[in-house]
Amino acid sequence: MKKIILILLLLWIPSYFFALSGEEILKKSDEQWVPDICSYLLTMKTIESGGDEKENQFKGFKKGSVKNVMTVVKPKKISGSVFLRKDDVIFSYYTTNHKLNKVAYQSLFMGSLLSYGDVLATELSFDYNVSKTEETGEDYILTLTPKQGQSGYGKVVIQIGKKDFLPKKRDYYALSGILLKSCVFNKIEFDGKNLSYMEQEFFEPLKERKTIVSLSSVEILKDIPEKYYNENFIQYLSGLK
Amino acid sequence: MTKAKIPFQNVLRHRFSSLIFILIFAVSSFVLYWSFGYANLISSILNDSFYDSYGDMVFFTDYFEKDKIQTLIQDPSIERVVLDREIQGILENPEKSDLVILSELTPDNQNRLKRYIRPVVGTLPKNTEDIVVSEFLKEGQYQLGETVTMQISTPDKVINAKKFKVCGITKSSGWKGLGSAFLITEESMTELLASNRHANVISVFLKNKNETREAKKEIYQGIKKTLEENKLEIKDSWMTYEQMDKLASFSGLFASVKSLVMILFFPLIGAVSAAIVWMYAFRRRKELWTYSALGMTHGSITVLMAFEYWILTLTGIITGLGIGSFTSYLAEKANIWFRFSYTFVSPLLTEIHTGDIVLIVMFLLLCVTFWIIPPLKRIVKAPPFSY
Repeated sequence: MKKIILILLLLWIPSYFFALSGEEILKKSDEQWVPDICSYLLTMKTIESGGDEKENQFKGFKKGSVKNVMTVVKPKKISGSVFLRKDDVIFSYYTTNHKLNKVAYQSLFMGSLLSYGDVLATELSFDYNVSKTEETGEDYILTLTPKQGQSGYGKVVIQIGKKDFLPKKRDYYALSGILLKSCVFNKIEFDGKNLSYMEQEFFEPLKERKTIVSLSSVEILKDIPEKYYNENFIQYLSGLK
Repeated sequence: MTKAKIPFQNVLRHRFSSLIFILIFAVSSFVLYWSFGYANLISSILNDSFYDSYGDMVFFTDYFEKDKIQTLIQDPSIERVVLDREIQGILENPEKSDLVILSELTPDNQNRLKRYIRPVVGTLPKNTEDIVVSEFLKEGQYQLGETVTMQISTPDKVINAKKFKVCGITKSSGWKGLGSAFLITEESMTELLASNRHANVISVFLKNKNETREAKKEIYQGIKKTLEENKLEIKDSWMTYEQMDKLASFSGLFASVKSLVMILFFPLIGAVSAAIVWMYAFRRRKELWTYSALGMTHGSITVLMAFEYWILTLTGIITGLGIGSFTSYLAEKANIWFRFSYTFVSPLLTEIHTGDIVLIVMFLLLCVTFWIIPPLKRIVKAPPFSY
């Protein structure tokens, strides 16, 4: 009997001391699929309730958690426009008016269901704290709230697979508790250890439309020049389309 | 007494000519009513709405703590500093998402802006769920009673949302977001921002509204410097007189509408009424000669006839003003269906003062007197059977 208790204790003690906290789960999940320094091609397809489709494509360069810049490839008429996240500020530069503007985190991104924050702030562990951690049989359910001073949703509930630490679903809530939108990860594929393709589907409870976001042509880079994230350089970046 | 009865009897006896004369003056006074009323409305919006909305100067900034700003902005020339909240947000209904400007209606600004904020349908917001939408940029997109969701970023940079019910539709709301601001109650704004300590618009009202431009500029620069020293980002700022200068030519144009209409109407109405008087009085020349044969002087006959036309003119004016007032009332009710140019947005309304009514009556009476006396005199003076 003593042996059984001892074995059970030996099994329980490590799991108690080495169980991951919510913060660690979120960080690990981000690290699992979001490359630290990379270039990528982001395609955004918005399907309206009537079936009309609109596709936007961007060439992006991500460096760490707070530096992300994208130039528009499609549609052609605004090709070369730039969107930049640098620390807590998001800038937009449109080739139509050649003006650099600061953009709010929640502003709608090019008529899609996504906000600028959704597109340019990819690592949730940087912007959010985990306020609640729950577990189901296969998944972790984390409730995230924005860190002090960081822009973000009132609450994000994220479902992460226990086995692979890959995200499955995200629900975005306003501070008032209203569900603003949800996102399901349809595909996350790897080439070896590195992400090669990812597909997310965003939908809102209020609207009969959806936006499918896919990340492809991911190229892991050693470094990206700092000038890429300099807002004064943004009009030159416009040529990187 | 008998003489006084004659013009009234003649008005009834010559029904057809009377009716034509009344009609001319009814139409004239109706046109004058609308010209004066609409010109007054636009002039008052142009002249006063900037001041009524934002005082002598305004600063649109990042969110700040109200208490801190009230302490920072101190100047003996300042009567009061009003701190409001005017934010950008995303308004969504199942069909569309729009970026809109959202303003709060406080008892203070509502009192200042009640002249301009007149929903063309529905009412102003009373409950925390109520929102007044503007037809300016969002024509026909939102309906009365519809539920919409407003999404904004709080001063703590957290996304918040709230459901609203459209309680009114406006076409003009003063410069406080003329044409583009959506209006909610103060409580709703506090709920949306999750704070009643923060604001982002500073309106400054000076003790002397007619302070010199130099003095105003000095105060303005002083406040700007104070805000910058306290690391408050100013997104936009201006003094009301700068905005008025930009609108000076437009304002002048509307202010001169009354004079232009009167200059145009004087010969126009005059010529028509003189022609009618000539035609009908000429046909009634036997009647005039009978008065003469009965011993009336030429002057008395002219006054007698003129009195008849004054009665007709007054009847026309009363009819025209009555129709003007009634159509103004109808237009106010029907404004939701009217579409005008978006160059200058305003519902079709009139703003008529007692002075305008007096001016219209005096102008038309003067006009008729000036133009009918010469033909009357000529007919009266003509020798009998001269044809």
